[in-house]
Amino acid sequence: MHDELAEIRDFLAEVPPFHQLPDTALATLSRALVIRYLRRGSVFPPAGAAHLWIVRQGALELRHPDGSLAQRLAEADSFDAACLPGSEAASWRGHACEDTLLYGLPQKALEALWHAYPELRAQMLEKLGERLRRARREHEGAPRGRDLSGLQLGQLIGRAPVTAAPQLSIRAAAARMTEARVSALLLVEDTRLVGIVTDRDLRSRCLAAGLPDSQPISAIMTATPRHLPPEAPAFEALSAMTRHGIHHIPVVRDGELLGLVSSTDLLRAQGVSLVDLADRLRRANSLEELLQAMGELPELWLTLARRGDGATALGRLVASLADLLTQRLLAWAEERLGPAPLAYAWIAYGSHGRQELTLFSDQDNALVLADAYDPAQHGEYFHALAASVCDGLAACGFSLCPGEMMACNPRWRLSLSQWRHAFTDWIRATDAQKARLASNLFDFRHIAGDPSLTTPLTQLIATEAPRHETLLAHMVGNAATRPAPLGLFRQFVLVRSGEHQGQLDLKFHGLMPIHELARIHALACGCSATGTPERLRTAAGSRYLSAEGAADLLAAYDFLQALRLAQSANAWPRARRSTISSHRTASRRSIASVCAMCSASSPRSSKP
Amino acid sequence: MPDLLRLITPLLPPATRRRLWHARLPDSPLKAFLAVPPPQPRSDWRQARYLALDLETTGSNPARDDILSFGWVCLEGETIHLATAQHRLVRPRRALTAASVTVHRITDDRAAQGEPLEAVLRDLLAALAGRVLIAHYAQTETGFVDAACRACYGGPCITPVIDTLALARRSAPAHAPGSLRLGALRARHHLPRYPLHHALSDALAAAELFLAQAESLSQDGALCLGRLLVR
Repeated sequence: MHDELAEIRDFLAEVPPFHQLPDTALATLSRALVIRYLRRGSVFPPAGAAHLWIVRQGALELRHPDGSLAQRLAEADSFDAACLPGSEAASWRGHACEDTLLYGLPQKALEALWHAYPELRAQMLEKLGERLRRARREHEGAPRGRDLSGLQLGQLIGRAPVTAAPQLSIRAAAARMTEARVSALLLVEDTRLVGIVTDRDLRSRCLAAGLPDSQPISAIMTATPRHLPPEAPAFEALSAMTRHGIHHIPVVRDGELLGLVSSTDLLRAQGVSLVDLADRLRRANSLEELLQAMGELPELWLTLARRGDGATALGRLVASLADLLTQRLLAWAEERLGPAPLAYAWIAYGSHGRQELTLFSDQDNALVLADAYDPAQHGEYFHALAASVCDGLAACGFSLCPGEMMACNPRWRLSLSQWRHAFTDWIRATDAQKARLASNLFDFRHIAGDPSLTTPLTQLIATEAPRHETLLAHMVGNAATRPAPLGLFRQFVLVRSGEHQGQLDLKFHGLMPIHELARIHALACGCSATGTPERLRTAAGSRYLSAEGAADLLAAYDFLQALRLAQSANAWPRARRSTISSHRTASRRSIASVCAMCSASSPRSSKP
Repeated sequence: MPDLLRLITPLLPPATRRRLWHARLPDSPLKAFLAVPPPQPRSDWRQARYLALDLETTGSNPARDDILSFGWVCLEGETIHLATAQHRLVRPRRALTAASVTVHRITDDRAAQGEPLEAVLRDLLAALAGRVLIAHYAQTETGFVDAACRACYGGPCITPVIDTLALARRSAPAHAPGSLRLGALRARHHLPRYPLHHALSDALAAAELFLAQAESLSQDGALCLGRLLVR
């Protein structure tokens, strides 16, 4: 009946983001809703399954766990925290400030809607990212210590000390450490510190010495360990650690044990550092925490870039953080969805595969599944798994791939045999289009999951590609269609329109051709490295690439990367693309020579 | 002894009536309906299952007037599930009067597109099994559904009933004229205005009003279903 639930449909038509949906979708959506009534003062969100809640009438208030106001919701506002795993807002608790009528969209229906209208999910994630960034800006009021000078040890104690009696057996002590996830155990008698045992002691004094693990832990402890009072400056702990080659310092006041400070705690206290960032990613328990940690990446990246760390090192750094992020998101997804029904491997390709990620790279990933994979039976699980990882990466700044070449697209979730078949097809029965796919996918790297699913693919590329020159020829052909950015008289051809008018795209015109050359050479000589410098070094001196040619390309690559880096470091955050303004003549001249070098080093023997 | 049964059953407790009628009826949607026990009056109202119903009719006398449309929606405890919402037109036995056309905006043409009464009644009974019936001024709904069951299946519709109008009257015995209308009561509980006199919209309106009333009555602690039922 056309006017069924017309009232509710008309209401939804006014509520963002649903207002963009066609009437038919709104009608379907209306039928999926549930309705709840909250009397003034009732708890929000209501107990039970996860829903996206829309206020039909009334008002709600949400508070952070510390009691501060987080958000107010009025008519036509919606609250989706429960449906976005890892959202910080999921920890907010609230109540109805007025009698409130709620429409709820069950999570399953929401996911179906996202599936049909992917742009809705993108908007929701964007909104979430925006909200979290705002929250972070607000939090920045509280400064973090940037060096150790002003800090006292007492401020660094994170948790109550993990202790045990010295009579405990070595085995029980080890179990205790494992359970508490600590690398050092403090041994006490009536709250008095008598010794410390670390992972290293377990290894060197028990395992390596052949001591039975039934012995008391006191047999391998360091008795009366070095300790410091809570007022001691953190710097003193650091120098004590370096001097004595230890990683843990107990903090003791008047014989009373207060806690333990480790070298990691000291590093973390130093503020932004790579170790700290990686550590925070590893420990993050919500998307909000991941995002906060990733939010510090630009600052760290700039610091390192200004300090003079090379572009290659920075690319690897961002890539390794993205690896960590992916692994973390996968673990959460598995926690939420249950263990995977069959073995899988998560791979990244493109710039992530080549470990040349920048701060603004798109994500390129895919899933390799065990051969028992049956889309009808397992498709739903792996779709949910991939979607939550891709969304999480997107929220952390790695934009969704516009071509949908991601694991959340069923076309990029194939079994090992299917991938093997596709790869073989691209290599043996290639054409320009397949060669383009191969250019992308063959840069893949194993990120998480079962490595036995990806090594056969690496081997396949290494053995098959050198024997099929047609693929290489097509790749050369594809690379050659990208014109060198040089006009008559060796003038630069600059971007003609849009935001970057009058600028030169370094990535597109400078780096991409080098990536392509390196890939072609690597495939030709069966090298399985995916990074451009490694590829060029491996291929140097081979049948196709002279040692000098490789050295030239490497130099050009380093130069362009450095230029791009310097440019981003200065221009960030204004420019997302590394472009160079036309008035920088000095750089222009250097690039001209680089481009000339590139065109001279094209592989000569690989002709289509 | 069907006549004796007919005579004495209204005096028996509902469970016994259900059992007796269930035993004597031939297989039918009504017999299947009577076989499912409704929620226990002693259970918490939040644990019970409900079906909010509204009928549009040609008049107020079940013996003389016809049902024009059914609207219903089911509740699981305190949650209304719109997926269960139904709006069904019934083909009336008699031509429509000018008055019913004005009120319900159902014309002869649209009514002619309706289904036979039995087809809709069958689905209603299937949905209502194991649930408490909710309606605003429930005499209309219970009277017409009961008459329809007797006409189609030869037995009464025995179901626990919640009347949102009776609940409102109970909580505020003195009331101004018109203040017990659905729209007015909803406004009092801060519920949005819905267009009235559409069976589904009214059923939904009654369902939401019921949730508001039950929440209001259970302010001081748990409330058992029995305290909400029509006695």
